Amino acid sequence: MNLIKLRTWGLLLSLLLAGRTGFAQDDAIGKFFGKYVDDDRFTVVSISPKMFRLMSKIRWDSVSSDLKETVGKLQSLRILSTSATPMTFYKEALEKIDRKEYEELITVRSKQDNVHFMVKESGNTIHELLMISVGDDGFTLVSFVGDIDLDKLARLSADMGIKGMENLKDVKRK
Amino acid sequence: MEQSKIRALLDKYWKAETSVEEERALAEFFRQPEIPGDLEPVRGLFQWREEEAELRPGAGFDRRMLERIEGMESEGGGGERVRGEVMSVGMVVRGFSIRFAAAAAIILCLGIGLLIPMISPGPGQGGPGSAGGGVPVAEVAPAAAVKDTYTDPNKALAVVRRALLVASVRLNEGNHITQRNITRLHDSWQAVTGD
Repeated sequence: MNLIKLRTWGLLLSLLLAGRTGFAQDDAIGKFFGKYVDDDRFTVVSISPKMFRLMSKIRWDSVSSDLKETVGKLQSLRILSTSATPMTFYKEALEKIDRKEYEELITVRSKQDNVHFMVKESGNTIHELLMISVGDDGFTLVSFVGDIDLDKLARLSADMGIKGMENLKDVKRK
Repeated sequence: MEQSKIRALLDKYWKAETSVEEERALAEFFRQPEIPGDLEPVRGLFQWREEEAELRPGAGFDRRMLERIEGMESEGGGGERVRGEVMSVGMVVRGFSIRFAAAAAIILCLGIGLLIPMISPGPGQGGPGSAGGGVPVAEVAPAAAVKDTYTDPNKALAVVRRALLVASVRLNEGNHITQRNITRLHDSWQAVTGD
């Protein structure tokens, strides 16, 4: 009987630990952000779920419905960029990504830079979109967390009539 | 369906904007034996979808399965359970209570897993760094506490908008490259077949 009780408690404890680990945020990308957040070489942008909730309370004039819906379903945004030794940080980020968690969506190689899109999904829902780019002018890592609809995301630039690379550079300078 | 409509649907398909009905129409079109030569390279894509949908168990599958089940039952004939035995109410209740206990334990663990980050000062969940009247919010970053970069939601929205647009532009670039490669594939196909 004691053995059964011991087994039951052991099982409960392992499940408890598993539950805690399952919700832990110490993923590789999180650690990567944590490592360089105070590094002067990096420009860091972090927008929390709280800020996303505050955003929903402001006026949304001149915002397309796709953009509104896309932003409405986001929970957090993190951007990390640097112009110092971009290739080193790019390699480090790619090495740290757990390929079991993140699935490669698309890779765009151009003369200016390489961009990797990776997604973390469960079922048919994408919970995180990771964009990692590297070029002569720098390295940028962007992580969108939330309920992400790639169709809507792809339509955004078409709605705004935006083409080309200029916008990426603008973001990096921010 | 007219070819112009098919081409328009294909354009939508490459942009991932087609509905299920439109994809069915495309699949129907590519099922025809005669299609324009320039669309031939795309046929494989839709055929693959059809072939996957038509996967069925082979001949004799049911018979083999039944034989295996019977074999397993006759092997276990001397064991605890005899074929056709009726389970007692006690066995059913015991089986259910174990399942309920397991489900309750899992729910409890998941609940605790959810509660712990809420109790500890987290992203906008309270605590000394919470937002209130423009005070920076403490964002629980993995491995390090990261502060919200903006205290003004308008500025934050502008950055989110810009980041989304950049991601959108780059995603579409990827789509265009895919389209270009398909065109290249089509040209090679034409060179080989002389269509």
